[in-house]
Amino acid sequence: MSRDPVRVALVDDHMIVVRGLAAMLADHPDRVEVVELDSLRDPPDDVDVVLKDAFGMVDDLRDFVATSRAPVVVFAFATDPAAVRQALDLGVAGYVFKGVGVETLVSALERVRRGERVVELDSADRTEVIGDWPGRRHGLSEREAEILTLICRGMSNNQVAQHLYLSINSVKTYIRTAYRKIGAESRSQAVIWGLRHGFVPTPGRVRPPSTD
Amino acid sequence: MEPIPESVEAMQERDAVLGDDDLLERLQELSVKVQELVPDCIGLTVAFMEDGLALTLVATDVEVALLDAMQYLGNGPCLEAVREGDPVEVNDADLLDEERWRIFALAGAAVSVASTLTLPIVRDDEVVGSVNLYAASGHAFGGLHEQLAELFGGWAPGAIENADLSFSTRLKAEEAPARLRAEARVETAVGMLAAYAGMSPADARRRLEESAARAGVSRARIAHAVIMLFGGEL
Repeated sequence: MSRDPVRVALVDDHMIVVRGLAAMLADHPDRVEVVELDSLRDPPDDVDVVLKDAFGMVDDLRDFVATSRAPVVVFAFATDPAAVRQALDLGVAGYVFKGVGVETLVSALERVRRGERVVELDSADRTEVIGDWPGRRHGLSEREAEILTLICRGMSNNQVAQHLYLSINSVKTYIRTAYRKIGAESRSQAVIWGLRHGFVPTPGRVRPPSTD
Repeated sequence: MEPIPESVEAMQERDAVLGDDDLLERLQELSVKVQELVPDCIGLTVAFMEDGLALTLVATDVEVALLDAMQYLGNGPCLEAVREGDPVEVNDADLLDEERWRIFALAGAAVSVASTLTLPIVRDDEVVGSVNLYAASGHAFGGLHEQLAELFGGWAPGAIENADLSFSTRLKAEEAPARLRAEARVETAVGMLAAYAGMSPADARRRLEESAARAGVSRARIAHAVIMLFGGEL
């Protein structure tokens, strides 16, 4: 059965992240049409599905979901059952782990358009690192970048751990490896580096998308 | 002995770059060795001058219960001390002081602190911190200064007995998480000021401290305002 591609808006506070998502989906134009790149906090209109990347997400997902006309799919690292349950309780139509392959993500978007509620946490079909994020070209992993983003927003170690459903020891390990990669020896140095390298929200809305 | 919850939290909030996450585990191992030398040692605090970190370990409920049982049997140090008329090397007024008893209760110890030993920790001829040991009997640390100092890298000649019978370092350890969180907040605000206002971290820190002094509020409070000003989320 052939259908029009799913009209998707990609949302995150950071434009580099949504551009990365768009590039990732660009290989499937027959199945997914990215109609909007959005780093504002209001849900976009006139789309079939909103794909909300959880990178550095600090805003209230509840308000976002409640005001979105289109079903919302969260794209996140956390696979903790509590994180998934919380998102579903807030009314998201889909929850997709960032470790899945592109095929699984595209399929999830199609199923959500059909009215299904989708949870995809299996990374079996993943083949390569996908997407983009601040600090990637400086060698930071997405997880390290996400944690540095939250530190640049003023969160304490424990707040970061709770926010990302990570153990405090994992958070401290990520902080340490991130600091080493960017040459920071203190939190103030890390914040300075982060703010000078795109670890701040970049409000904007791009339509049609530019993925270069 | 086990760390008090605030010490666990303090280590969580401590700057990750310092990389000594196993400090509490190492202290627990040391506490076992201390108790081999001083069986009725019921608490210890290690304080570092550099970042104000203070960590406290106290005897577990089981250890305290065992100690109580031993004393009840009549051979324990407290009863012995009472019989000798020299119970805890502090005067009666101190023992009856309500505030002291409140602090003892906070320490979670079923038996009160009867003797303490303070050891300075010296690195390169500089005092970088201190270890405080707390025991339930009156003369627990006598003749053991050298051995205990060796355990902690402490300086035995600088040892002081009974300088902290109120276990005040425990209160310092309880305040450590809030102090470290406040310091992290200041560090973040300094980073924001430096990045957005194009000044050096040292200038940003000085500006923040001057603002706090001028407004008559803490550095942490000004830091909070700076973070919120620049769109932070606390």
